[in-house]
Amino acid sequence: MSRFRTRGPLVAGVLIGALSLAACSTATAEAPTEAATEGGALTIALDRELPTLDVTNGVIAQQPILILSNALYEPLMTPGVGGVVEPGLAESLESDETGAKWTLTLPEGVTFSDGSALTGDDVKAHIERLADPANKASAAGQAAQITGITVVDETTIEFDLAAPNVDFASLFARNLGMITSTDAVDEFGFPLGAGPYKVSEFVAGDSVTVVRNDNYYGEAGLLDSATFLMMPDADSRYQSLQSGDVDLIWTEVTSQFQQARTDSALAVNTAPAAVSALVLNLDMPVFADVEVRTALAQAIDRDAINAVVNLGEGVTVDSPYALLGDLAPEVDYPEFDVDAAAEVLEGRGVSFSLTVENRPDTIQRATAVQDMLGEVGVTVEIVPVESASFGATLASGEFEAADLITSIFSDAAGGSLISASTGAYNFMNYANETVDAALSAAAVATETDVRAEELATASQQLAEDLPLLWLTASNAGFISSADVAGIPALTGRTLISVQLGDMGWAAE
Amino acid sequence: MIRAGLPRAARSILVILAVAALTSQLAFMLPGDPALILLGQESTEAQRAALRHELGLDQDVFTRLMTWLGGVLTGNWGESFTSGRPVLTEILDRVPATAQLVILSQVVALAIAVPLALYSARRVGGVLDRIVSASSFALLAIPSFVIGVLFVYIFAVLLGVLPASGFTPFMEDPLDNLRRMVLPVLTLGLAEAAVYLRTLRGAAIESLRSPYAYASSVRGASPARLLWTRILRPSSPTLTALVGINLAVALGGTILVESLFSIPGVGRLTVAALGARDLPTIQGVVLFAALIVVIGGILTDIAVSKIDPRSSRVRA
Repeated sequence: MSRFRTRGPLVAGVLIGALSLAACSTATAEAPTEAATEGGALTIALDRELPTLDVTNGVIAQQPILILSNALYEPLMTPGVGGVVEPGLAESLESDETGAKWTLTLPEGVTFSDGSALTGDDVKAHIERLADPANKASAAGQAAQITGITVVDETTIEFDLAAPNVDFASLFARNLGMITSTDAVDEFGFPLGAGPYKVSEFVAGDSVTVVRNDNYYGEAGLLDSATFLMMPDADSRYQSLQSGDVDLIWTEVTSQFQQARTDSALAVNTAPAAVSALVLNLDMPVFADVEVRTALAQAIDRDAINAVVNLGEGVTVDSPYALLGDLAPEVDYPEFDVDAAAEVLEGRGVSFSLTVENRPDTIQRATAVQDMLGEVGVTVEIVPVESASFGATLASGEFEAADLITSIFSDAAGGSLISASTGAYNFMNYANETVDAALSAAAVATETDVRAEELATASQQLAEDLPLLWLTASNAGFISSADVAGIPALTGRTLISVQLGDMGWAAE
Repeated sequence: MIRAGLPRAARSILVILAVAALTSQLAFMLPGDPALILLGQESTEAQRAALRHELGLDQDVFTRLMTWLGGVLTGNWGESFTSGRPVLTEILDRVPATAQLVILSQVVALAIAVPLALYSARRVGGVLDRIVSASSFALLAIPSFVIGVLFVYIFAVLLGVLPASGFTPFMEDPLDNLRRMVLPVLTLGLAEAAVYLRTLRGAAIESLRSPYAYASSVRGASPARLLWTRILRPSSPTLTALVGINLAVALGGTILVESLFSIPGVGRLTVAALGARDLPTIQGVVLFAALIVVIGGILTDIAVSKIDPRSSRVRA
């Protein structure tokens, strides 16, 4: 049996969540805040409403919410640097040499928040619950990858997969790995978890208050309590932080990071996240010619987009694996060359619509692309679509090109999901045998250098076929009061997933 | 009275039935497969088919309508796809915050608009009238969320005298509730005040030119008495109708303010439900809004007929 750290699909359970929010990472300048002291309370502003705290709901698995869901339902695995996944609640997760059989070991003495034991049977029941479509779990598809669960003893569980998958462990970093009781619920009707905190108050649409879980198996959380306010408006969150109404906010607004960095009362912790790319629907005649697609890529100045849209806070990307440390390939992606692009495109009458999620940052990025392509004679019509319908529009294939911003590239499996011919997120209708073969080989390759080679092959083919025109990775993360302590360094993180139990207030 | 009200009641029931019929077909009108949205892009077709069956999304149009209507009439508005809670409970939990916001903002709007409109109308072109007119046009021109952001910046960030956001139920802490309501109520109320001011000012100018106003004046009525007892009532039917409509359709108008100030009201519930394709909640909110609009319309008509009995006279 070979134990190895895995990189895997840290993919949000629901399409909208996966597409609308993000966080991957490369290096950032932020350092961890100092160690926190015990006691006190934090008020944290979340960027969306939580209709429920049940892990079946995809919102629980979305990156901005992980600060809450990790506190209540500490996941089996936790993301580390560069897409690596490490044991969280689990003691270990090991695969056999095929990557199709995995063994999970739990530490002794893990309990749910009511003190009842969390055993292998609970893990099995939890996964079966999520796999049942009647429970409307966003992780149902991930759970369906598991074809057999054998509870060996109270702390050992074996999983048989439908197909080999060396990225399997990363599925346990979000709601599939957030083990909840199928027997007991709290006073609000939410299944009990095994995290360092438990729910003490839930007001639908307004707030969640958590208090220390005295039955937590590990080191107790430092804070006595934390209140999470549901504040969808980004400006409102930032102003509430400035006014002292809240202590920490999640944001993806670049200008807020820049503004906060000039304020000594605030601290910023971010990672370049939210990978953006143009998705080209290859069923559309306008994109049938690879020469046209190459010229379009040459006409887009990604550095300029990073400077204008991300205010220089992000990085440019050129493959699905650009942020993944050791796995990041060297790719020969078309360089910005407006003359070469014009030679192909001018007078050719290329025209297409660009479907965009209706948000200020996405519209701004689309406008920049529209201007750049206009320089080489391409007419782009921007079609804003409300966030609620954006994912459905992509899934239905009713678009020509679309502006995609996503967290699915936070690990190696993201590339497969979007570019394999059978990939769940392959909205381009792209199919290439070389890419499929390389991705299949990577899915069973346990050696990092072998995986990197296969992923580089796939990346290079993608750079030549260009079903996706890569743009940038922009920042996402936290802005907090400078007195908030215990936030880890996000440098190199591909998923911003922090543990509230480590956070608190700095010493006086 | 009862006979006169019967056609109106019948029309109202028809409106509600039509809305109910339309909303029961939302699954077919909104883009996207709810099963795919709930289970995620990685789910299997078998899982999605099973969920569609579980949710009744594979039923025909008529069966869906009858099933839903039957539930509505028996008090079962369905369960939210996302929270699993009864839809009616979800809505009723959010009503107090929205109702308080709407009612207080209307009170503020009227408190500002009525005196200013009456005194502006009395001296058309005077200093007060010019200031009030310019201010009202400015308020109409600025979107309410801009006013809200400005208020938060001034009163919460700069001065620190009011909270930037958040909501405390009145029964839990009345003082904190009112403190947190000041900025959202002003944000919503000022925009409404500008509309009411323009409406009432125009009507009051007409009333002041009428023979009975002239007669009151020459009989020695003081300006205040003239405006408040002789001019306000005949000038009010349009304003009353407007207030009634605003109260009834407030759902749409409060969404921005609820989002900006993090108020857990019906507007935010609607936005969240739309984003998650939570069909039972969307249907419930739409039906609830239709009920409020119909009831609000009836009450507004009654109020207008009390103020101006001529409006309810049946033509011979």
